[in-house]
Amino acid sequence: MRVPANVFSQDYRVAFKQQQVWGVAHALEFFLLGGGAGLYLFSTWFARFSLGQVIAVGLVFAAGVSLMIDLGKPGRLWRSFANFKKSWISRGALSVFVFLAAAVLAMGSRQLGVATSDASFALSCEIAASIFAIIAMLYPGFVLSSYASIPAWNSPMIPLLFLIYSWTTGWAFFGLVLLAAGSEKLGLFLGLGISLIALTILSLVIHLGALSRGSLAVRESFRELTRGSLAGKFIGGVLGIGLVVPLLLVLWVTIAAVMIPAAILLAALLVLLGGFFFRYCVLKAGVYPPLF
Amino acid sequence: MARLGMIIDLARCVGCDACTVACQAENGTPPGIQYAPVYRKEVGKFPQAKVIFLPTLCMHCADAPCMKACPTAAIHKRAQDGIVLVDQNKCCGSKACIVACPYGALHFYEERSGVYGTELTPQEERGQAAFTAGTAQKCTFCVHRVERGLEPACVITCPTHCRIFGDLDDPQSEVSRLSRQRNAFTLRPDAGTDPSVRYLP
Repeated sequence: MRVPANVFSQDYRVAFKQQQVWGVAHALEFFLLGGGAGLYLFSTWFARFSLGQVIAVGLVFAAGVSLMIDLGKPGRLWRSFANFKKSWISRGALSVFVFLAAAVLAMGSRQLGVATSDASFALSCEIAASIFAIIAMLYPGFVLSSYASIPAWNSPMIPLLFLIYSWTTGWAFFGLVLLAAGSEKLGLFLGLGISLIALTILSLVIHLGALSRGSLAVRESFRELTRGSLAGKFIGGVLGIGLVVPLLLVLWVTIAAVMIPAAILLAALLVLLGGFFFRYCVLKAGVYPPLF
Repeated sequence: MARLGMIIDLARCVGCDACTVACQAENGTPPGIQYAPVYRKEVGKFPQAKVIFLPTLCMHCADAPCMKACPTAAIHKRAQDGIVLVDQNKCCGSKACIVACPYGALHFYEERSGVYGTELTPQEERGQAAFTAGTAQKCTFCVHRVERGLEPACVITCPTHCRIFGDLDDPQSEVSRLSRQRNAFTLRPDAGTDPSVRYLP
């Protein structure tokens, strides 16, 4: 009779196991947060664009709502500011709250002309909102990298990747807003896109290289991403459809020197799709090593 | 000041699961939540194959990652004995502690439930009265027993006396002596948590 190799290895405490607690809801929150914060920065500093700012605030607010829905006790959300000295989730919640308050104040004072006749108040609020937007872009990466329980997350590359991908996702949202508004600043948008997508691909390749040479648990995460259950989403969704195809599309439009809105629209949508899959894959590729 | 901890003698454990059952009875946890599971692993090859057992529980770490992960500061370490507890009135159910724990020692308590569905046994009724739905739950080292001078339920139930409970900060205690004499080790030392549960090979 053939005996199974290890009949007791079903539990992660005696085998590698993917993290199962955080999934679609957290990926969506991280995606909306990074994209919204990135869009705010583009809309504020690269091309003053109030529609972009409004949508950015909406995206970040939606990220907060997405997180709140996932809480076991949503009514206690206000308590999540309490442990900001130790917890990155607490720092993230605080940064989102301050960002929303500062961005709304800035937009309100600019649009309605309240508070002051000169623009210094609005500018101060915009600077504050921008600083907290960058913290909000970084915080999901710092949350994950602070967990020693999952070695693949416990890396300085994770916050960097989340920051870079937030800029890229923000760029894609920015493109959609520019297209919707029929803006003439699409040339600036294309130039930024080539640099950002190329930087994202480069950072992902560096990260994958580091994963492939890590400890056993880290290599298990690498295997999940490249040959395991997440390979289709990561190789196809993040790297292929989410980065390489949009890069080719943007390069094509730039080289052709003709604005093709459909190609730009497609590139932006694919980057957004890849941005969501990136967060999902990083979360799901978190592998706990066995206890013994 | 003390640092309560546990020594688990792996050479003595026979994998009877009495500790798991005693814990569940003592704390009235629902069917999906076990604070003290015993894990099994098949090692070696025939004819030298054998099954080894790993009794587990919350490690009540000195540098608890769940405490750092919790956004609401609901998880705290008691200054008088080092027991790590979840404040049911502060936990917002973010599950950050569950992800952060390298030992899988934290659980999410969704709703009241027992082995017979929503109708709870008296033990479950008593145990789950202290739980709040939508929050994290974990082993408390049977703090309600410790405060009465008793040992945790898993310790007194173990028929092979493989679990020994005591003060790790007291060099004269049995746990400290065994830890020194038999080269006790901890699980996942790479996580840097300094657990208060140690194992004897």
